[in-house]
This record gives sequence, structure tokens and C-alpha cells, in this order.
Amino acid sequence: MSADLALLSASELARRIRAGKATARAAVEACLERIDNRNDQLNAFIALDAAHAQATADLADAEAKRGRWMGPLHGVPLAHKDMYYREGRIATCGSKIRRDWVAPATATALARLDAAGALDLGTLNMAEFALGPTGHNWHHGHARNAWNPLHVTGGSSSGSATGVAARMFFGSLGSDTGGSIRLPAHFCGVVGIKPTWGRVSRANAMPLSWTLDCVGPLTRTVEDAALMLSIIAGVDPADPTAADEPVPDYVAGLARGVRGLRIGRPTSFFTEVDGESERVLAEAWKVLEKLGATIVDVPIPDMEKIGTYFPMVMGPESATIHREWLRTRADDYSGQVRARLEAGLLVPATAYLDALRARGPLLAEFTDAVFSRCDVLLVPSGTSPAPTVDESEVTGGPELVARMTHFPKFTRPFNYLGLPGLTVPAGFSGSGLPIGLQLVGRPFDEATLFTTGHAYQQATEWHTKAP
Amino acid sequence: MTTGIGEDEARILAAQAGVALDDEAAVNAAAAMAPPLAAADRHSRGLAFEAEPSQFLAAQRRARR
Repeated sequence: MSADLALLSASELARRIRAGKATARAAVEACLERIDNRNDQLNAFIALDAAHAQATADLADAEAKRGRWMGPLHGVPLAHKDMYYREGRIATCGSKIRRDWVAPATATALARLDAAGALDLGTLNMAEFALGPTGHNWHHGHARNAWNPLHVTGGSSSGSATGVAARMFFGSLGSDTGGSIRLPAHFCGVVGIKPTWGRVSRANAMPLSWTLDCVGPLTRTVEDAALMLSIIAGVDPADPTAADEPVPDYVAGLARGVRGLRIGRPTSFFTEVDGESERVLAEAWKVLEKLGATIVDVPIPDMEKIGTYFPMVMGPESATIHREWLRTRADDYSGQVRARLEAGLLVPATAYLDALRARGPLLAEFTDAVFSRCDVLLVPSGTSPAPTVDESEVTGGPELVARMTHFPKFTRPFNYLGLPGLTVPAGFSGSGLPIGLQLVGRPFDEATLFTTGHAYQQATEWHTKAP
Repeated sequence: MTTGIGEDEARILAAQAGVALDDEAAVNAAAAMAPPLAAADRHSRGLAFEAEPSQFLAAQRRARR
């Protein structure tokens, strides 16, 4: 029974627990078995707390026996990127500098999942301070791709993606500043959503670049992502940037389907992918057209400005956050992360502010050009499937610059524009590595992305494949 | 992508931020990773005189359905 439970989606597990057909404790044991079998190889966890998960699972089961239900994730085991603070627990942020730092308060997103009944198995590997698109971590060890451990997971939410793929837990919070949810979701064959900037509170989550940072889940299905986002989204007095926008019932909207929906197919920029990704995306168009969507070709505005401005924002903001440690503990950063942070010191204030004041006009230009023609834009999540750990391990020089901009080429623009992006598994390369598509929508229109992604998953089986 | 920043300028800019890039390797690494200032300057020449960062929220609201 345990092995079967581990393969369910979070939503299906929650339904079974609610119906008395499964227990939270059995779900936790199923996860622990998977973790025991694969974590040594994949390095998904920074700190596993099995005893806590077992104890809270027993409490959840006891409550269930009394007919008391915490919420829609009652008894469902999750685990989260080690940058969501929990009061009294160490949050390393994937770093050496914070290896022993104990969080003084709990992240709003974690507190909302707790309140919904979710269990927490422990903290997950991530790129050092969430700064890295590959999943390399020179302090806690590189995370490895569940589909082939010689390949990277993508980053920075590396442990989240590979752990969800390996069915070690049923969902995970990641964070996305330039692609850190969508890129690992693409490389590991799971679902990941970067919501609209401001959709989810970032209170007591580690900051990297406050203009770009977004909190979102990585899951096995679109339904699970819709459920988790509906729980964590919404206004929060602890985070003044959390938008005061109503949160729709994303799960209830899943059944709307895509008939009549206009889905945009880019005619430039997002077409620059390898042959295998091109083949997978071509099949995805066919599936959506068969489901009744109208496919429309959409010219893409010039993306060069966005590509130029993105590091003008991220660089100075991350350098400002880390400035004190760059003064006092520079040698405690890995070489790659230190170089990227110090580069942010070299951006004049005028360039940073130009990048910020260009953001509104460029968002207007993009939405006018794209969303006047379609309801959802479908683009790749990455330019290719996951490279190997060895070939993508670069620590400096021009090659590093090229890699840091190439991997998140199709994800970064939507952080700068603040638009929501949903990555959904869409197939495999010839060597068995996952390839994901990315659905992008208007600000605060995550509901249409979920509807489209769910319809796609009802017609395909990519999300049911487990490594 | 080139920054247009030389080693001396990188040292000075970092020092203005209170961080000493004493080690030559650190200077080179930071300068190599720095964003492309010349390109940003070129793009910014077309920015409206009235543009300011708070307009992003207004653009976000307008971009909704």
C-alpha cells in the first residue's frame, strides 16, 4: 500500500485520506521509503525530519478519526526549499554563511500550508542563496536529476524539483527570480508555477531581488499546483507587496477546458530551441488544437531590452542584500555566487533606476502586442533538456556569463515583466530527459494557465511518468 | 555581452559600495559578470521623460483583462 500511495498526486492523496481510504502516517512512511531509496543519489534534502513528520501525521490521523479536518491538504506530506523560514528551525538558504542560522519567524506561505493541514518532511537543497540556474551547490553537494543523476536538476529550486519527480513528497514550495521554479520543473519533468509578481506573500522567505522574487509550488499535476497556489496566494499584512487581489478558486476553474481559447504560438525569439524541444512543442500544439483551442501565430516584441534590463535589476538588489557579507565573509561564498553578487556592485544607480522605470512601458508593449491576439502564450521553458552536471559546472569567465543567460533565456523575461508562467511536462528527449512547455498569461490570470495546463494533462500522460 | 567596465573602474565602483575587491581574480570575475551597461544606456535613451518605477503597478493593472 505504501508504494502505491507515493505515486498519487497530492490532490488524490488528500481525497483518499478524507474518504478514510488512506492515512497521513502511511503517506509519510511511503515518502520515507522513497527518500531512503533515492536521496543518497539525488541529494534532494538538506535536513530530513522524519520524526516530526511521523508525529504530525499521527496527529492528523487522530484528528481525522474525530471528524476534524484542518483543510484541503490534511495529512499530505510536503517538503520545501531551505529558504522558507520556520520559527526555531535552521534555514541554511543553501549557503555556508547561514549553515547554523535559526529562523526567528515562520514564512507566511508555510503557515498557510500548515493551516491547510499539510505536513512538512524537512528542508530541501537549493542553489546557494537561490542564485544559480543549474542546481550546483558547492556547500551542500550538487542536487541530481531524478531521471538521470549525471544530469543537473536545474535551479535554484533543485531539491524541490528532483524530489517531486522522484515521488519523495507530494509538492514543494520553490522560489523564482529568473526561472528558479520553471527551469527545474522543465529539467525534472514536474509542474511549476511562477505566479504574477505580488500574487503570493514573501514574508519570511529569503529575499534575492525584491522586484523579481516570486513564491510558487512545484507539483506532480496542474491540479496540485492550482490547489497549493489557492492556499498560499493573497494579501498579507506582513508583506506590503502582496497584492490585494481576490484569489479565485483555481481548482473549481480547472474543468472549463480550452475550447475557444486563443493560444499564442510565438513566431520569433521563443522559437530558438534545440530539435528535440521543437519536436515536443510541435506535438503539444496538436494536442491543444485537438482539444478545441484556436492556435494563433503571435509576433513577439523585441526582447533585447528586457534581456539587458533584467540583470540591471537583479544585480544591484542582490548585491545590496549581500553587501555586508561581501565585506566580511566574501570567502564563504562559492566562487560563482560571489562573482555574480559582486558584479551587482558595479551597476550605477541611474542604470538600475532606468531598468525599473522601463518596466511599466515594456510590460504595456508586451501585453499590447501579445495578449491582444491571444489569451495564453505557449513558449518553451528551456532551450534544451538538462545538461550534465559536469559540462555545466563553470565557475567564472565569459563561459559563465553565457551559461547564466542561456539557461533562463525563456524564463527571465517574465520575471522582469511580472507575468505568471506555468511549466508543464510535455515529453522526453531521445535519451529520456524531460522537456516542459511554459504557459504565460496576463497579470493575475493564473486561472487560465491552470485551465489550459489541466486540459493538456487530461489529454496526455507525461505527468504520470515517474523515474 | 560586455560590460564596458575595466578593472580599475570595477575596483572603484565596488569600493564606493564599501566592498574591497583587492584580489585581482575577484575583480576580473565581477567585471566579467557585470551587466551590459552600454546596451542598457542605449536602450534607456528612448525612455519617456515621465517614466518612473511606480508606473509598473499601473501598467500591471492596465494589462489585466
